[in-house]
Amino acid sequence: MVNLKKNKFTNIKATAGNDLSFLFHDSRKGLSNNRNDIDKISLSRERVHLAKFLFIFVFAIFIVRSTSLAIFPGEILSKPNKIISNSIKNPLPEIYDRNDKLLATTIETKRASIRNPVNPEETARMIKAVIPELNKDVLLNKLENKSYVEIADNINDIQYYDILNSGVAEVEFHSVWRRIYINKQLASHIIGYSGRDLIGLSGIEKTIPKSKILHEDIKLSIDISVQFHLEDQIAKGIELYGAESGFGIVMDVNNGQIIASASLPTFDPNIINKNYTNSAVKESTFNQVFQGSYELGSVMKIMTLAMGLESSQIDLNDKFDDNICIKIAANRCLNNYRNQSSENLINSVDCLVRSSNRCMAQIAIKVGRENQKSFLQKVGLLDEYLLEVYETGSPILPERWTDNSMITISFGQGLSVVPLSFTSSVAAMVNGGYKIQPSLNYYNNSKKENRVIRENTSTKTIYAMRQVVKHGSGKKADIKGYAVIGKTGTADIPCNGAYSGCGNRTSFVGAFPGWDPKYVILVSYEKPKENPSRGIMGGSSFHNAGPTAGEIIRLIAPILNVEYNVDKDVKDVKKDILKNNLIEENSL
Amino acid sequence: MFKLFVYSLFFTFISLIVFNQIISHEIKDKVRQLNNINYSLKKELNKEILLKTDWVVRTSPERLQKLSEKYYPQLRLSPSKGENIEFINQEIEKN
Repeated sequence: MVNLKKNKFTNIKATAGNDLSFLFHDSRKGLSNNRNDIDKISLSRERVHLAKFLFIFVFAIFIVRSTSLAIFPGEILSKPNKIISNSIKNPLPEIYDRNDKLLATTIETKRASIRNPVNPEETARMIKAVIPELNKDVLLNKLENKSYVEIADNINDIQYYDILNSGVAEVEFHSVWRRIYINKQLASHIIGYSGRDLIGLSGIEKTIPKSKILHEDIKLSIDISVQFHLEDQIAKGIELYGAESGFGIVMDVNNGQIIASASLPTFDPNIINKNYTNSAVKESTFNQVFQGSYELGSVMKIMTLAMGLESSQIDLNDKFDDNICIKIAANRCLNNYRNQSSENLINSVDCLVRSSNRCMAQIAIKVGRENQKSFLQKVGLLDEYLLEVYETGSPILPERWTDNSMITISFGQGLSVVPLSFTSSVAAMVNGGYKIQPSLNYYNNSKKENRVIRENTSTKTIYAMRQVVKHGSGKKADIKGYAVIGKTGTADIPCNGAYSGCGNRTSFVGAFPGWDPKYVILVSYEKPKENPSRGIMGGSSFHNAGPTAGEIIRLIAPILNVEYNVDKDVKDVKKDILKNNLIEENSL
Repeated sequence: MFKLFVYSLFFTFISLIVFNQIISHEIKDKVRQLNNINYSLKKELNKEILLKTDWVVRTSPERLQKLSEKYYPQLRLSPSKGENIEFINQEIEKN
């Protein structure tokens, strides 16, 4: 290493004219003498090169990385801080009815709060001056004990500037979303309501977060004008007949879309979180149409008649003895409603028109217990059903399907059915015999594929139902020009193990127009009373549910584009049957 | 040769940095513009929702019925009736 310091390679500068021979001499000498030293020099040079490369390499990594970070900052910065375009959309979708009328939407409002006030007393005084409805003592107590106090929710612009100008420094504003239900209590059972944090608590609102339709607008199958008339008429009916509650539903018979569904008493989803007591919430949010399960009474006779016709055990001309004793207990014969009976034999259409229990029992006995059960199963009365909302009920079946239950079910006792599934099964009876799936979704077109009864049976059932409205208990629902078909029902409400003394439930189920049923309607009242001072002479469905349904049909048929035609009526199947009989007789 | 390589490398990096600074500045500017547009869009949307809501409130069936009852003597409005509506296929059948 000593030699290296005197190294001539590094220290000697050669200029022009110098004798350079010593260089070669020395170098050769050096090479020969200090070969190891030279190796060391080149080695250290290589090391320096290596270090240089390493340095450049590391430096290059730094530069490349910092450049890429500068170009693509997304890796280290979270996106919402930079671009807020994602938050433009409403957190919940808007809900529309079938005619694109807005039902529910979300608007942005402000929430004012105070954090860690320096002088709670002064703050409370100043806030009280701009928001007079606040209780000063309560506010002061909160301000003293809590570090964060919300003082006002959903404030408008005027209040916002008032609070800003009040002089309180610790006040904070947060923008919050608020769900508003524009039509208030209208269709509130279907739309439902949501809590403070936009979490749906019932109806469609509850379905939204759990479905994939979070940001797409929802179009329901309901028609808000029809819904209004339905709720309005039932509310008027409840007041007029002194009923405790009532419900109604209008459904499209061809695709199962629910056009309107009312369950009264109802609630206002805008204020239910604030102004309702717990029991009131429980009572008013119960949707009788979807969740309830009732013995609907004589309206079930449609099913029994259709079942008899479908099984080919009976025909419309078959005669039945209305005075026969059908034993349902050891010493008790089956009674007709209000013990009405006929002297002569009556045919099966008259059975329905007169709403004869004995007649229906005979049909059920002819068809048989198992067949009855499988028929009701087939039309969907014994199963739970699916719908777009969570509030669904299930039917209450008899514990054991005995011969007695067969008889009572034939005229509507002993089997509680969900009104919605009952309506859809009546729709199947009148739409040509196809089972339909009820739905609240406008785009859901359930096709008519699953046949439950023959078309012929459906036509005969429609004919029998038309006779009920024309000549029987449904007279008050016979709206001119629509050939309304239907059936009334007055059922005793069971209580304390008996069917008496607890009032009754009156219902009317019908469809219109009679020549080609498009919509089916069900109206029902709980415990209606007679009201002689206002011309209501009785408490049966003839006096309440029937007229209400008629009035509703009169109001909603023009809205639903149903043809008004006084010349048309249902197909007269009886004439056909007579004709067939004549032909048969002639041919014999 | 090596020096040339190193210098060109440095030059490349420096130009990249300058270039990227220009771009990132532009991006920031665009983001700022985008945020402004989004904010105004949001305001407009809110306004639109309010207007829509207002329209629905004004044309709600409940309100219309109340108004038609109140001004019945002057306007004589009543719910539409089936007999007032003629259907096209009915006309065809008649002819």
